[in-house]
Amino acid sequence: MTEMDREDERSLVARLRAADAAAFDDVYDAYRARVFAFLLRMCRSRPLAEDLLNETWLRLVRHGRRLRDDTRIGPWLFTVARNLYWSHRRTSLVEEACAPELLGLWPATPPWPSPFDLTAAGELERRIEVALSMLQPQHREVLLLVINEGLTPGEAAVVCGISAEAMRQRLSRARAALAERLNLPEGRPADRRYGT
Amino acid sequence: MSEDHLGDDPVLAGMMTLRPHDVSARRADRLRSRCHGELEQCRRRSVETRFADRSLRRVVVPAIASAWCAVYLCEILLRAAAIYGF
Repeated sequence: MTEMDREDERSLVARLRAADAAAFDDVYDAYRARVFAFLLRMCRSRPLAEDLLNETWLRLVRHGRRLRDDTRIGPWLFTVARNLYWSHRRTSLVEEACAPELLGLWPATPPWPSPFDLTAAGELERRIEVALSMLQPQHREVLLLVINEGLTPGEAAVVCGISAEAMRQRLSRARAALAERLNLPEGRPADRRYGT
Repeated sequence: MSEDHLGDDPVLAGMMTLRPHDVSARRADRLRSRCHGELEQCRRRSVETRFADRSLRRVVVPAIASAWCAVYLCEILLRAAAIYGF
């Protein structure tokens, strides 16, 4: 179930509000992998993406009663996942700024895409994954939401909390940045300045 | 940026072919069970809240209103008795 028609979605939302486990399973099966792929490409760390995925689904369960009748489930889930990612990112930046000397003591999580992921991917896919991982997170998220997840630019604008016009401009800049990085030799240290 | 535009653009078309990713089946099942547990708790809480609401509406509120009416009636009778010298 990749796309739901509006009526199905309304009835699913009504069942979620009634804490129906079968409705939860339908949504979970339809969106789990999509939300995880989005988080994985945003966080570039599998353990972190897994933690944020857990939190995203728990939020759906805990706030399910308060969903409005016209809630679009996909954009709602991506909004929660995105907000969790940015919230985590802000916390990490504050921690890095407050206690840089402690960072060396903290175990580092393995980066994503890992050498294994890159080996398993085809040549074009490998280049795109590397180029994507080098983009600013703001650019990465709009490309992932619109191109990979198939959200309309209007829905993606709501998810990112910006206007439709700002989304159009950001998409255009993101596309240009991705194209530029695809033409560059991969893995240049200077290109990683936008990292997570 | 229209669908046609995406199809024409090799950079964006390449992005659409990226492999899907998912968590392991074990982790997915564990998360599902955890969410089912939370849903069950939500349902139970909501039943308890509904029961408490119903009790409040059916028993407590009428009892308070009746007690207030009884006190008011007694006060009126006492004052009436005082006026007529009983």
